[in-house]
Amino acid sequence: MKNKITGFLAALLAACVLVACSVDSPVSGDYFNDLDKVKGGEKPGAPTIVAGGVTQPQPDEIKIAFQTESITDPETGSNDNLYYLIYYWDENPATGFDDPREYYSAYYYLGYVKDSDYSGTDPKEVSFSLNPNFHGTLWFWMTSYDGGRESDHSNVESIIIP
Amino acid sequence: MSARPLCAIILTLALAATAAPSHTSAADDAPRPVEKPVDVKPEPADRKEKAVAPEKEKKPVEKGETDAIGKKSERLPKWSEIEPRTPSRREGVSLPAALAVDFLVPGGGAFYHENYYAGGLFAAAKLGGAYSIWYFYREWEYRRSLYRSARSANREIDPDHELLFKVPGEGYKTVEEIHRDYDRAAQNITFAVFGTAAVFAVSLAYTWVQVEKINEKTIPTFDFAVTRDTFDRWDARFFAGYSMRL
Repeated sequence: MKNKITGFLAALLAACVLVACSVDSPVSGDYFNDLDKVKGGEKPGAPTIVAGGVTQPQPDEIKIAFQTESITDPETGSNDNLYYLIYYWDENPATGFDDPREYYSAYYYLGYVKDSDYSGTDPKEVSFSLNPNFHGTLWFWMTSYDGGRESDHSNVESIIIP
Repeated sequence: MSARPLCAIILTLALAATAAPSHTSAADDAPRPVEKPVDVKPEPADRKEKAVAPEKEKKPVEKGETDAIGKKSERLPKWSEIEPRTPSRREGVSLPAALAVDFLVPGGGAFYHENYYAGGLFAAAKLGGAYSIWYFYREWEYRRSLYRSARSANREIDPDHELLFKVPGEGYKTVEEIHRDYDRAAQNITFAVFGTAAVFAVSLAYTWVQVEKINEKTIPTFDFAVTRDTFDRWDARFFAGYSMRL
């Protein structure tokens, strides 16, 4: 009886030791300060908004023109895999945002387009529907995204809707 | 002297002669009236020798013989024949020692009072509990190091964006998600500590109860019997025996 209990406890201890070996040791302070461990590596460049406006005479659609030739994904060397994200707000973000990180908040996110959707050269255009009852000014800005990292925001373009 | 007084004297003497028992007549075999029994009270041991004089000690009724009232009896010990006995004792278990052994040695309390099944169970539970505390503490250290490193790297690389860091064996996580894992590891340590403390408490309580049960049987036990030979109203003999614990 005593031998059985001793054997059981010895087996339990051996199992515990084996499991204990699977726990990783603590990492150093600069472990993640390595772009190889960051998804997307280097961040891509930001697009440039060149123009924006509403259709006439019925302002039921907004169009934004932007350029992307100067930007690339550092990992691939091209911009074929990039996504262009569009944000907007009914206030000027330069004065309305307290934190720069709000430029990238999902609260102001409108939608995206892929670089592969375009076959021609710059400028590229993107359009979206507008509520005909809305009148006022809207501010737009864009970023590019490589599937891991998002670029800095583009210039902010304001569009007046009469 | 006249004849009348002389006749009275002779008659008186004759009557006296007829009233006296005859030792040779059949009346000797007739049953005699039962004597009132002596009230039997236990006498102190120091007076035991004075209670019965050897020359007056009655011969005990042997088995199969007929006693004074004509019944055959078995020999029963008199109250004076009870011998003093030493109480029976069992060996007890020291409660403080058992509790100390149980606290310091996994399953020690149960092994101490020779309950090997319970001892093995408590030993496994305590060892498992202690190991879980150690395991979760190591994991908590690891998670803390990951969180601190990720937070520092995010601030240096791109403070305006929430970066995704590759955690070994778990894929990409944001700093917020790594912080959540860190909090969960701290929570696991707390649960492990409380669980192990509960196992210790149950083991101590179990040891306490078992030792108390053992020690109850260590109280000295006296066994003795008292008999009464006869009663005045009926022919009855009884044997009364009982045990007393002090």
